[in-house]
Amino acid sequence: MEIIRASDVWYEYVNPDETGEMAVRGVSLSVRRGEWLSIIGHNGSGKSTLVKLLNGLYVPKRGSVTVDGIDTQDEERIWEVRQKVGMIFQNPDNQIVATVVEEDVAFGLENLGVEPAQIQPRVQKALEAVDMTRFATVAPHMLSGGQKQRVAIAGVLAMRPDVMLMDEPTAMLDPSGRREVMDTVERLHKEEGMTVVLITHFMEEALRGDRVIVMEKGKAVMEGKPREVFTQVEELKNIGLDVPPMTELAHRLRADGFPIAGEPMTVKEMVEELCRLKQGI
Amino acid sequence: MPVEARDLTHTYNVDSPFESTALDKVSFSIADGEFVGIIGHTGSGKSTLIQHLNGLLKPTGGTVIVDGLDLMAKETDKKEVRRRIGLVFQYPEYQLFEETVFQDIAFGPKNLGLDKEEIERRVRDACKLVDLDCDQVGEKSPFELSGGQKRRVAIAGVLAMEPGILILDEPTAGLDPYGRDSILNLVRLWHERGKTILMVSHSMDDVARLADRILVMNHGRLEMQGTPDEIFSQEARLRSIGLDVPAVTTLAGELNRLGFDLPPHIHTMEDMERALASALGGRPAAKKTEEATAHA
Repeated sequence: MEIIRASDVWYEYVNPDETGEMAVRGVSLSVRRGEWLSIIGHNGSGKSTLVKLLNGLYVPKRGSVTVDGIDTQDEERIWEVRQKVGMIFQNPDNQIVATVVEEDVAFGLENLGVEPAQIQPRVQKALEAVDMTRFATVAPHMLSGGQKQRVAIAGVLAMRPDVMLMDEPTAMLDPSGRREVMDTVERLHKEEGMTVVLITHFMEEALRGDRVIVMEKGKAVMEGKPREVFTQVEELKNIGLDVPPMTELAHRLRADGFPIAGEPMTVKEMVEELCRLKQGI
Repeated sequence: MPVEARDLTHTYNVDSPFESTALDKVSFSIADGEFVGIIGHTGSGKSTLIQHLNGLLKPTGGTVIVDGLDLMAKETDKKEVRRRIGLVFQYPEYQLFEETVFQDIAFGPKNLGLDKEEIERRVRDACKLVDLDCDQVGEKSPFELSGGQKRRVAIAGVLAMEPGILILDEPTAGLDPYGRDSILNLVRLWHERGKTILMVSHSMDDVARLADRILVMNHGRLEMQGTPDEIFSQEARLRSIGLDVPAVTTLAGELNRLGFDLPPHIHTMEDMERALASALGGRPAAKKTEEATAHA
């Protein structure tokens, strides 16, 4: 069942020069419930604009976006849309508003007018889901970047959205913070069935999802399972994107004349493939 | 210009309940023309460290010596030190403010009191280094540019001061692969002019590829220092302090456990490609080196 549908969506800025952002030019896509969709593309490809269209921060100039059947142009129901689509941004410091972690997680619920008696259990559950329970009463500025980002995720989870829309959530984190956040997202997706839409520059992160869309000049130019998309190494490089390191290595070895079979994308798969090759010699 | 830190210590909020030591007796020295990578988890003291190197923060203990100038000595002219050290902060594009790209890049040199011709020469040179066409974008407002271009303008502003030592704090954060490569490329070009580079980075791959030497920070202390080979051969230790090794290094370790006899110290894609080519049948991939450098 689909939760988000974008049909031939167009968005143009009145003066694109001033914003530096590219328009979205006729994108159609659908996000299924429980799916993890990653969107990649270089800066200016229109990804961030697309994200803003998916939760109704922008409304399309042409075409339409519906979230759980609600058109984002329907001003009366825009708050429902925003509640269904929770957003996580790049900078954890810009998303934390309270001085204590649990208050920060409760912030959205208070704004929604949730009964006080229900707030506490929902906050606790959200903190458990991101494994931050023991920091409930800590001041957010004492946390690491990865921990802050997990608090931001808890704040969104507490509002029980249908979709988590993440715009480069790990861009400002160190390697352990990145791993922490991605492991959390993966667990929420696998165990709780959370629908995830992830914008990222890190191809290894996109590998973890179910489907990848590549944006270029405001259009969706490639789409498919990570394995299908990332094996098109030349095409991705032509539009200025990376491929995951193991895919790159496989591509290079093949160019050197080694018959790498299948499409190894992780270290584990590469180890298996290389062992097979070595035994064949 | 050598840079030396001696027992550099910085404690925030001394004698208050919030007292915390951000730097704890950090000592190192960096030689002229070196490319040094600084890695460490968030909050490990990297940013505090580099802000000491040009005197933006004053140590609570120890000192920094830049090119023989002791930053703690009263008679040292701090301005002179800042002239020699260019510091590119995180997200430097937020610091653009002038009406045109040209004026923004010219701001520093102008403050140095240089004449018009010299300013023009420096702005053009800096533009070329960051791969911006001065004639094309010079008269535009910096705010009309894309994110990656803005960042390059901001860096050009620092390069136009022609500092002997360039310090960059996560210069590629938030950039796409193309933007990242263009920033790293300009850093490499600057280094090739014989300048000293200190680069803070969360990308182990970038550091492995570019740095001569790596400083590893952990909880305010200098946990390790050494060449990329020395540092990345300690995978377990790096992981225990929240860091990582390049994916190809992990792969090399796995393969060697399974009896591939790969040489030690594989940290870049090129290393791995060569090592595997000889392990799997001796078909050398030497021709690829040039292309690989271009990619870097």
